[in-house]
Amino acid sequence: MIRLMVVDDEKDSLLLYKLMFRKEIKNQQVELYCYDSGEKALKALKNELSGKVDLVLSDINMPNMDGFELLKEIKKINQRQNVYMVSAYGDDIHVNEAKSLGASDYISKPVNFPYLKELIFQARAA
Amino acid sequence: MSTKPKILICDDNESIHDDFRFTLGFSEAQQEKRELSSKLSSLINEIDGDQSENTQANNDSVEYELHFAKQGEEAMLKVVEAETQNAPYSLIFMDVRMPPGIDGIQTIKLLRKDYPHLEFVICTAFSDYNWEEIAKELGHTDKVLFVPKPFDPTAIKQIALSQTIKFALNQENQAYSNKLETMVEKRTEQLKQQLEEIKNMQETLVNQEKLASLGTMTAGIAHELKNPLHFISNFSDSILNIIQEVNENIKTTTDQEDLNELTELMFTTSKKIKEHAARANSIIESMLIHSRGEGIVDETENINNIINKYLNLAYVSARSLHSNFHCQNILNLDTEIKDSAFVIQDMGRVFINILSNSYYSMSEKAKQAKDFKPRLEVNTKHCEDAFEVIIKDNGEGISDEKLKHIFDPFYTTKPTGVGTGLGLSISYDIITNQHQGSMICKSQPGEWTEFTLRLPYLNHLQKRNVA
Repeated sequence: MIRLMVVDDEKDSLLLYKLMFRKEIKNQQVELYCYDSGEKALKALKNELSGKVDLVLSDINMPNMDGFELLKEIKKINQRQNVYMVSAYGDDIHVNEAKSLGASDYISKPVNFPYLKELIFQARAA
Repeated sequence: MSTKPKILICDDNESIHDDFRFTLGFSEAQQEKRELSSKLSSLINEIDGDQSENTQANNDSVEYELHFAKQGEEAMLKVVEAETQNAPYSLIFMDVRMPPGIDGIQTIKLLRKDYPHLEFVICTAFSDYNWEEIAKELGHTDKVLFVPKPFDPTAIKQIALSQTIKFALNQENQAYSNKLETMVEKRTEQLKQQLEEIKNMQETLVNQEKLASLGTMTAGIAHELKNPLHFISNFSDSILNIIQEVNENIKTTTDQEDLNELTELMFTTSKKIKEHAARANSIIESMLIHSRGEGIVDETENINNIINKYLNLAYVSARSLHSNFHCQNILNLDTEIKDSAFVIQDMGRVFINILSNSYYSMSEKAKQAKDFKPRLEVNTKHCEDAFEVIIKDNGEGISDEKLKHIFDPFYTTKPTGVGTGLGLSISYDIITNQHQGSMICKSQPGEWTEFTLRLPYLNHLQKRNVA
């Protein structure tokens, strides 16, 4: 069972993850935790989900706490927490900042879900 | 060019030439020498039959280089020759009556036309002209002196000395002012070039600024469009997955509930695709509006009417967007305000943009504070050659840091999908460029935000450049 946390201020994004991982969720290969703000996601990681998330998938452009701030906060709690940034920004500046802040990978929107799944399951196997 | 001053003596009487030679050419000691060599040369001449007249050319002790002419025409030729060789005469002694040719006054008159810098001394025994007549012929000038014959040698020497020095000084002066003029011209040319360079640099900067804003815009468009594309592309993929699942289910099971669920999912997903396609379209449309420039027609209207119309529109749209939203709209419209030229749709867009921001901000504040009462105030004010529109809401306000950026393209504090960050930058462009007005925003964070538009009364709008 892979436990994924998805953080995106667009509610449709969360719906999309649920749809794309429908089979995996049904087969209990994947468990999804969805949050529409960085603050809520961080609170959950500090409390009920502490140590229970294998991978965080976070958007960058969000009001108030954006994806980079969330990434910094997550790294403060758990340096080894896997985080992928998911964003429509495809430029080097954003990619490099994500890497330098400790993101394990950077996924550009539109997300290629078959590729994302492969990444997730490979990381799990390794 | 000779370093000795050149003097031309023009007289039809050759004995006068000798007088000048004697007076200006030689000292007394030299004179004896001259007489001796003269006798010698006349003897030699008698023997050789040589008619050499040039007695002073080889004499290196003379102070002046003397040239002679017997007629006005001959003098003119010599002057022209000297001027073309850039070795002008410093002084010309001119007889008046020189039959059969033109007289001295006419010669001077003709020469002065082309060579106004020449210095003349008029020498005459009988007065064919008196001073008044000469002045009438030649005009009042410091370039012509009058000496009666017979000559006083000392006076001639003195005149020659002072006039040649005067000429030399004038020449120097002229050369100096020519040099100054050249310098001024050169400097003026340099300044012109520098001005041209500055202009070019300004143009380059403006173009770079345009390119930079184009770059910002392109990056903005890319980001804005990728979001809806992300959904369109992936939701349609998920529909394909569902269809596959439906096909499998039809073969293997007859579970109606499963099928219903899948149909429901396809329905929801299709709706989402349509929504995000519309979102992509509206982003592109707002871009097109942002870059429009021509074919816009201005109309004369009263700003109060425009506000009434578009405030209503903005409020209706805000109430449909924000559930349970109510706002007290207070309008204080100054009836003194006169009609002015507007592109009405564009002005409407400005009000829609400002007012929707206000309503959005107040609706957000209302979610946090239950007893909060949204209140929007619009004031208009006539002030001589301009009028003002002041729009104030009691919403969340804007921090100083954010206030600096509110007119930047693609700057938004709203969640993705809610704002494109173009509204206020377009509004600013419409007010400042298209309607030649000003637009400022003040705010007290947590308390209020106030926009002040100041617009001049216009008969017509200028054709604008496409940015």
